[in-house]
Amino acid sequence: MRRMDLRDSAEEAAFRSGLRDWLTRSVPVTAGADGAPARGRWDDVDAVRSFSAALHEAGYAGLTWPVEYGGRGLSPVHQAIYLEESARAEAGEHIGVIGLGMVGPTVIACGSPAQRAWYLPRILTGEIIFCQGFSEPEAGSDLSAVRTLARRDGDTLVVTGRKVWSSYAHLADHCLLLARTDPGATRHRGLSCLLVDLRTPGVTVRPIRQMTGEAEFAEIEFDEARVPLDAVVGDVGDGWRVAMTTLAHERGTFGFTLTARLEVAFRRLVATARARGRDTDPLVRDQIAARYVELEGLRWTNRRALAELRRTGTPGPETSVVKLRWSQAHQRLTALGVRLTAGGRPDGWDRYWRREMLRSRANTIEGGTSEVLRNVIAERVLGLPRSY
Amino acid sequence: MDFALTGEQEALRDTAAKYLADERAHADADRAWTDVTGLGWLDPELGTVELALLAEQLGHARSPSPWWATVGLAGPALRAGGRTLRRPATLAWAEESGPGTLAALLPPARSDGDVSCTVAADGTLDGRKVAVPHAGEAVDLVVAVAGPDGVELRLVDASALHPAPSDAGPAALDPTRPAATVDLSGAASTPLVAAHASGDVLAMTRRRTLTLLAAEAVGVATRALAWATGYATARTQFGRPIGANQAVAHPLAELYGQVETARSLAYRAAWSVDAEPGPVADRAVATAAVAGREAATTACEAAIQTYGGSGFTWEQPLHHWYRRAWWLATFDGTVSDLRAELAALLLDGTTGQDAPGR
Repeated sequence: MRRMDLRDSAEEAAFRSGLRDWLTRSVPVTAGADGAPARGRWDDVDAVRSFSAALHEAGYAGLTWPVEYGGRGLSPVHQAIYLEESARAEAGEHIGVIGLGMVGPTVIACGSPAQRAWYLPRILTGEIIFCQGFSEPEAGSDLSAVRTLARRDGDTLVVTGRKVWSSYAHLADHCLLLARTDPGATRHRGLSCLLVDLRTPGVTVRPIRQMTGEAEFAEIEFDEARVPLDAVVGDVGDGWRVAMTTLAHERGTFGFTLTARLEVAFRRLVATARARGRDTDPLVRDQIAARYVELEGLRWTNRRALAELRRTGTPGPETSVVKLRWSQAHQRLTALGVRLTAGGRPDGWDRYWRREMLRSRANTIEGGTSEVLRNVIAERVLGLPRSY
Repeated sequence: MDFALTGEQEALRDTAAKYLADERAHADADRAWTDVTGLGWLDPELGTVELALLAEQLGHARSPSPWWATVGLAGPALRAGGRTLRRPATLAWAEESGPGTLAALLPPARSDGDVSCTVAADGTLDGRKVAVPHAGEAVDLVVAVAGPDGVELRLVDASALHPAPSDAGPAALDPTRPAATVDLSGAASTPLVAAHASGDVLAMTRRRTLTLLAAEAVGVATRALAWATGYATARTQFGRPIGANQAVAHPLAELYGQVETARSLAYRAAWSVDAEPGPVADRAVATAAVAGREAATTACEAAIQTYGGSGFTWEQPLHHWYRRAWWLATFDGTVSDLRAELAALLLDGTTGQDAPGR
């Protein structure tokens, strides 16, 4: 009889231990003398690139992609194990997070054979790095208000408009763009998804300097940029459905990604408390325990949602709460990190937590604001009336 | 890894929900107990996951049944002593100037001389126990007493005792969770668990009880959220349902997230209690207890606020669930105590080295 069992199956355990061995050998040590992380995630792009290539070579890129497209054809459970173990090993992420997690699966689901043949292998190796061109100055939470135009001119589309908050755009050379191909249509109609090379004449990428002082996001301006018609994913005018496919993939195992990052942050919080001798303070201990409860709540809710996904094929309603609660948990955790390191001799830890605290303010905004997520839960899960 | 309930587990849960929705389940204590045994809720085959699913439904219904004390507090000792669970049972552990919480009875926190209730060579007991849950209903009373080799667990026929209720009426936090002081002087007892084994049995007792109550708290929270959602949909002010205001809707959406994460943790703890080594299970149990207890009080408070003035009345049933939520929040230690325990598990000694983890 099948039983609830939260342990790895024999096969999952083998995958985990193989991965663990590989990570032990392959993750470069970056921590400084005080144990604090020496650099931001993307400070050394060359190192990220070479680690991504190593990941691919070892078969850890595209774990859940079908084998025929160069993936391993493994279950989301393996993806979850990969994310957990990478977090434990303090490993960096593959440089093509957007390509592997969102664009690739979208091309697999909706793209043409030619698009699959060209893009998929290059996403896996990290040769092509994607960013996402969805949000605009006037289309944030209301994505259907997209104004960027892709005007048909023979076999090309002429793109004009402005995209903002494209994460990874500072590293990317390609963009999955949501644009309006039918200027007469409104809202969800007349949109198309395009695979655009950012080196196309007429495309300008400008970094957006954020409150941390860094620029992880960019604004992308399209000024009469000419894109071949065969860059459209799926059918012309079918962009909303394609974009929703992309976002559904973001929600699939993205909870595991977020939670794995939170787990790394929690370990660092404990290390900070120890390094600063604050781990015996009862108030600090109470706070650390509270943060742990939040982390564990996310970890096991992810797993419960995954079981539901495997059983029914659609993500359960639990999925909708993960991003909402993760963002709050991460903000509280980083704020505690800053409080733990206040005063005393400056070291790597206070620099690290100040940066993380400032960065975490975006967590309740990016990828669906908390307000929109609460609306989604209230209306679609709880069945409350549409609210204002 | 498979975190899905089996068909049998779902059937057990659904049957319980259906039975508890019926008035019969709450009308008469004796008949309700006959039903509990008839439904198989005392069967030894039930693991902690199955028991947690039942506890969740009993919390949802705010059942007054002493079932939780029977399977949670008394069950591990009775089973270790070779007895079957048949009659309402409970555990007497707290003393006026001795151990207060179950945790205080566990080694290494417990030291010789903490327990002042004693047992003579012929099994006759002496001393007093306080805050014994369901002492008035229990027939089988398990007591923790100091024997010649240390603390042992013994069985007393409680029908011969005369427990003195320590709280009653509206002043009681939850009248369906009565506690009493029990004078054991002169009572006859039979052995259940010897001193050398009592630490392990009591540790399991605590893990199982706190887990069942965490699941019960999730049931309480689920019911409160359902009420609040229903009322927010039905109640109209300013020409529209109050739930059409984000000021009303959003706290309920937040609450949903809190309840679902607490549910995940309760199920995980229930699985852990039967499947994982002690320190790992202890961490899972304390985590689930914190999350469940906080979800229950928060959910009831949100429901009362959503109901407005009527939520504050005696007639509205909300306060009964709120009282249960607070009883849960303070049973055998508070949420702060549990967080302190969790911090010790995470930060002190060797067990914290691999945290957070499996």
